[in-house]
Amino acid sequence: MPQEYAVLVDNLVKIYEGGIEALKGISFKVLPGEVFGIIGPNGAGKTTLMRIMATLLKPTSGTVRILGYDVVKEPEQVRKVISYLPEEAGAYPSFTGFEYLEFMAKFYTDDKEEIKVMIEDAKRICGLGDRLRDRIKSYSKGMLRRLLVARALMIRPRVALLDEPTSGLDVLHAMYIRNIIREYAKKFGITVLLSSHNMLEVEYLCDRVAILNKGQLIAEGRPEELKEIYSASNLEEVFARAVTYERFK
Amino acid sequence: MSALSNLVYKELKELFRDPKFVIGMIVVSLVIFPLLSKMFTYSIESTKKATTITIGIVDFDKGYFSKNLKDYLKSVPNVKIVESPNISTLTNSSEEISAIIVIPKGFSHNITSNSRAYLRVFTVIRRFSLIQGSSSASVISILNSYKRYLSTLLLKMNLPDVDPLAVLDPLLIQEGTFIKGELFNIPSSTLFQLMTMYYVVIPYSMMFLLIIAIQIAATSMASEKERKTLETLLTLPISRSTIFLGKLIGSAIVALIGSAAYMAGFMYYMKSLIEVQAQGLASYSMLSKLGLLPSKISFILLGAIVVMTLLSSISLALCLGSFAESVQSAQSISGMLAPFIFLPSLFTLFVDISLLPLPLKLILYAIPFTHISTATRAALENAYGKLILILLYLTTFTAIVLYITARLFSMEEKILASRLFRRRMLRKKR
Ligand SMILES: Nc1ncnc2c1ncn2[C@@H]1O[C@H](COP(=O)(O)OP(=O)(O)O)[C@@H](O)[C@H]1O
Ligand SMILES: [Mg+2]
Repeated sequence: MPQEYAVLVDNLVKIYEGGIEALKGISFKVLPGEVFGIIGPNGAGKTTLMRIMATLLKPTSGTVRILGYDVVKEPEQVRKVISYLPEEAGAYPSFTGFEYLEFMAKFYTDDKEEIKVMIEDAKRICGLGDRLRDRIKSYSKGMLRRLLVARALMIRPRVALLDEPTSGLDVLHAMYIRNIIREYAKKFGITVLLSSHNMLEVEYLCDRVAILNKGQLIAEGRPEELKEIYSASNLEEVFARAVTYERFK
Repeated sequence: MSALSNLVYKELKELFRDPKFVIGMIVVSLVIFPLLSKMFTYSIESTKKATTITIGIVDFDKGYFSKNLKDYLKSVPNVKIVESPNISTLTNSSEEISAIIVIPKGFSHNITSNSRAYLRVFTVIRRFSLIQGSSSASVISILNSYKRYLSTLLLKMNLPDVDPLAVLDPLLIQEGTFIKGELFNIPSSTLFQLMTMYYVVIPYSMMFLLIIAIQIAATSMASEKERKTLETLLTLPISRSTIFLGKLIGSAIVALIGSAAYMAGFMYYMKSLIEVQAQGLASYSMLSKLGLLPSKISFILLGAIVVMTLLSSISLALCLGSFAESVQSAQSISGMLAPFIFLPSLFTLFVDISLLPLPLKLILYAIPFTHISTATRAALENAYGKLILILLYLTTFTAIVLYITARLFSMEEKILASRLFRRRMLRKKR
């Protein structure tokens, strides 16, 4: 059954047990092969949304479908098609970079050749070179992040969920990772859903963006479209105007 | 299947690269025990070879038998005699005098007139050490052998026709033991000593195994949280039960390897102890020949009981450990289980459970760890019925724990968002 939408989020609500309303009924759709950005300030609910899509959290109400699979009813199916990069993630410190990548690759295939290809890909994505032979505990924060991004992309998932993929990276590495995410998405037809609080970086990277603020989606569209609608020169201005507009609604 | 082996392999690799674990488990078992046994044999041998003991003597008697005693002491190897007219010069002497023997006036007279003679012996302590204790004990034992020598001498003098041994040791006792109608020429006390050793050694080494397994299992979920690897793990295309099983098997394998190292070290230690005590390790084969060791069936049942106990405690630890946020708090959780492992078995060493009041009995029997001891005992008695009953109970217990843990694992929010627990608890405090 061909899927019209890679990701379908419909009226999603998440109220944490403490009573905090992290998502207040959001809806959006992501097309196959699209790079879709969710932007918003800290505390907007981006991580909550990502975790629900990654089958880690159960929504309070509403539905999320990934390639047609319901994240609540068919989490096993969802996990087979996604690759999730958590916002704060770690790796096993006693493993070398290569060992970690191999460990992860083995969950997706038994074929030695395919594993080799995945690790080669990862090596290129992270750009760590021979440092992959070293134990992960000797890595800097940025190196670890690059390794984890590589881990998420190397398996060529059908849908990649990347929560703040460039957090903790310096400008040059962030740029490099942005380019490589885009390149992989286009080359292998990977649908990418990424979150970021850096609105400028998303502008270069994403085909379409959604602006999330205090658990609500306040704008959605292609960066150029949004800039035109809000007559702004960049997405930061779009965000500022959308928030103000929201207040008067 | 391959995902499972991948996970198990990862658990093992991580553990064996953890210096705390490797040092704690393998090195301690394989180095400390042999070292202990070396120290033990060394101390035994060194006291046997005993460096020279210096004995001070104050002779107020100066008779035939005081000379006889001094000559006897001089003939003992490694004994040095220092004579002095008074005690104070001896206590202040630069020589390392271990003991002072004072021979009072009339010592020889008393002996020749067929009445009892007296000696005073003082131990001289400069600093407390165990060697010191052993050297003063050996002065007494030298004097005891002199007593025997003196008795023989006196008997020969007074009853020249009688064999002194026939008076001094007129009764020779030869012990034997009937076991299941068959006669064995060994004293029953030796046998009971051996039996007790097995009652203690087997259960306690199993308990050690359980403690390690629980430690590993309890910390393994928490360490995934602490290193922030759990979220990734939970979104891989593997089921929750596979993750759970991977941790279960990993912990069990490591516990088995660890306990094998421990047992090897322990056996080596025990063996050297037994050899020093000149009982010989042949006693093990002797026990099995006597049919006092578990039969094959008992042994298999006991093995199954060990595996079940291991599984139930690991899943219990995994379950409890999932709530812990840090490795440290997981360790304190597993520490709370330790008394439940040791106390019941310690209890059964001294008390016969079946004689206890019913409620206490039930409580003890409900604790799965109690059955390490009861099962060891039942196996030695080849009580199949009891063993099967224990196995059934443990299987049920394990199944329930596994079910609860598996349920818990599927409620990932509980595992993931332990932050939430803290928040809720904070609010309750307010
Ligand atoms: N486990 C949790 N329990 C309760 N509240 C939470 C939890 N996680 C996040 N929140 C709250 O939900 C809101 C959204 O958080 P989050 O999704 O992390 O935002 P973002 O990723 O956009 O910074 C915040 O107010 C945050 O405090
Ligand atoms: Mg976030």
